Amino acid sequence: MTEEYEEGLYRENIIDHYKNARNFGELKDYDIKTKELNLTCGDQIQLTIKLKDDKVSDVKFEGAGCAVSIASASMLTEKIKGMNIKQLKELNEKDIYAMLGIKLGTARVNCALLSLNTLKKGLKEAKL
Amino acid sequence: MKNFTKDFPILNEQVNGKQLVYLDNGATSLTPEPVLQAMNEYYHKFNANVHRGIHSLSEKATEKYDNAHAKIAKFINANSDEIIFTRGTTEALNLLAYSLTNDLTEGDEILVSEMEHHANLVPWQQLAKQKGLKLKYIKVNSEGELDFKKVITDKTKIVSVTGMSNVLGTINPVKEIAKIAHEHGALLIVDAAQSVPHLPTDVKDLDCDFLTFSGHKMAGPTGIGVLYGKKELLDKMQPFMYGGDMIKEVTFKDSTWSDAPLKFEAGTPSIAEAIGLAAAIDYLTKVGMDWIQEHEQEITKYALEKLQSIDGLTLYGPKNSEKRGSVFSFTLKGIHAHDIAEILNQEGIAIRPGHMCAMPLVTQVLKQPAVARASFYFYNTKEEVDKLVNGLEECKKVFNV
Repeated sequence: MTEEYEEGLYRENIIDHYKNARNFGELKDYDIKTKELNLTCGDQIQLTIKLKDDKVSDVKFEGAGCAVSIASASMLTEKIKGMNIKQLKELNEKDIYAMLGIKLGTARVNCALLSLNTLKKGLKEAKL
Repeated sequence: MKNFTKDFPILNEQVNGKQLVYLDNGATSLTPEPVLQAMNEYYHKFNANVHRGIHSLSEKATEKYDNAHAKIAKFINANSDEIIFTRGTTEALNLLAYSLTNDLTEGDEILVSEMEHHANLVPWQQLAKQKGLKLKYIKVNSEGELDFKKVITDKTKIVSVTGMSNVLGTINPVKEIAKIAHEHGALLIVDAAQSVPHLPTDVKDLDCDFLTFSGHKMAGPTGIGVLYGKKELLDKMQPFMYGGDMIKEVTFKDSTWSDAPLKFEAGTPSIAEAIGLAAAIDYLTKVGMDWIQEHEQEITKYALEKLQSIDGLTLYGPKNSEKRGSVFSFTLKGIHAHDIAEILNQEGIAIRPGHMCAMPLVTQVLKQPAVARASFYFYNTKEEVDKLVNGLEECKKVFNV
């Protein structure tokens, strides 16, 4: 029965990123710090981002949430390291789905997009 | 052992290739054939508006609608003119909040509990803010019960508590709370959305001043709820919604009101739904509310034992089966409630993750980002408890915890 899950939503990489989240924590020296909630299931993500020469030099995230939201945040922090502001702004939903590589039902879309929504909010708040 | 699959054909449905195990009754209950037939009969045979026509269809519709009032009244040992139909418990509680706070003055106190559903928290909170009233909370202790003995004072004008928590399953001793409230000159409102469907309820015995519940949590349709109020109180209250049916006389200058309960039933009512609710009550009476209470007690005892034996599972609410109903909110170490619900759904098991419309309770009292809830009703079985437990063990395997 567990094999079914390995092909589906709870593929090994999702579980791995959930249990061993990359870049977990909070930057003390940051240029962007922001928080966002997914109220439908109680997920929340905080992002801290350090920029150097207009590019992401370091990023950390903190938060509590379901496997999809945490895995998404973990993968996103890996993805955006080295990206410039323009590239960050161009990130969209399709990039997140491709990044996660899983089929998402409508109920879980918000979980997957929480990390991206947090990033977008941070960019807006920092007026970038 | 009673078999309900004939009355609830949905129990034979497959979900994701597995037999449906419906454990989300706290959100809404399943609806049996006789209720659907009663509603269809209205639309097929006497589809007319009530209280207005002389023609036969209208007479028949009015008769059925008025009988529904009477039937609901008998179910909770009230009088017909003490039963008001609303869209649900939320609307009933809003009605009370708007209407009763009209007669309060700045500094008066309203008391609700920390375990309330948003429907019995947010209206009071907002009206207290608007009118300069003080909202206070009865605390939930570590056993999941209310510490109500010393908290009601002479400043308290309204006490509003749940009959059974939709998160913790706690059955509150509302009869005792009513006594203390009355000793201090306060009104007692019971949000019985979770208790009326599961426990025999007698409003005269409880001596509550108001009581609210919803059709869709007790095998009835959505879109219909009940507000019970003592007649002498309803007579003194201002209307909540204005319009047709709740008036006696209207001129361009002013209007006068109908007597209660019509005073609080503006506009065309949910006629089919009221008839559906009456049919649901017939159905529950036939099954037997005492049988329902006993059966659920058995499920509760069994589920308490089985759930607490799962390593890493924290169960919230009273652990004594006499003090709680069959609503089980829990967390599993290392697995978010949303993921638990997702995996259980793959097994055909329907539960609910999140805050259960009790965000302060879950986040501030239980201190959890979310919980998972399995809630049972009279058609659920011990086998389904076993399926839930197996499903939870499966969650642990998937997440390797």
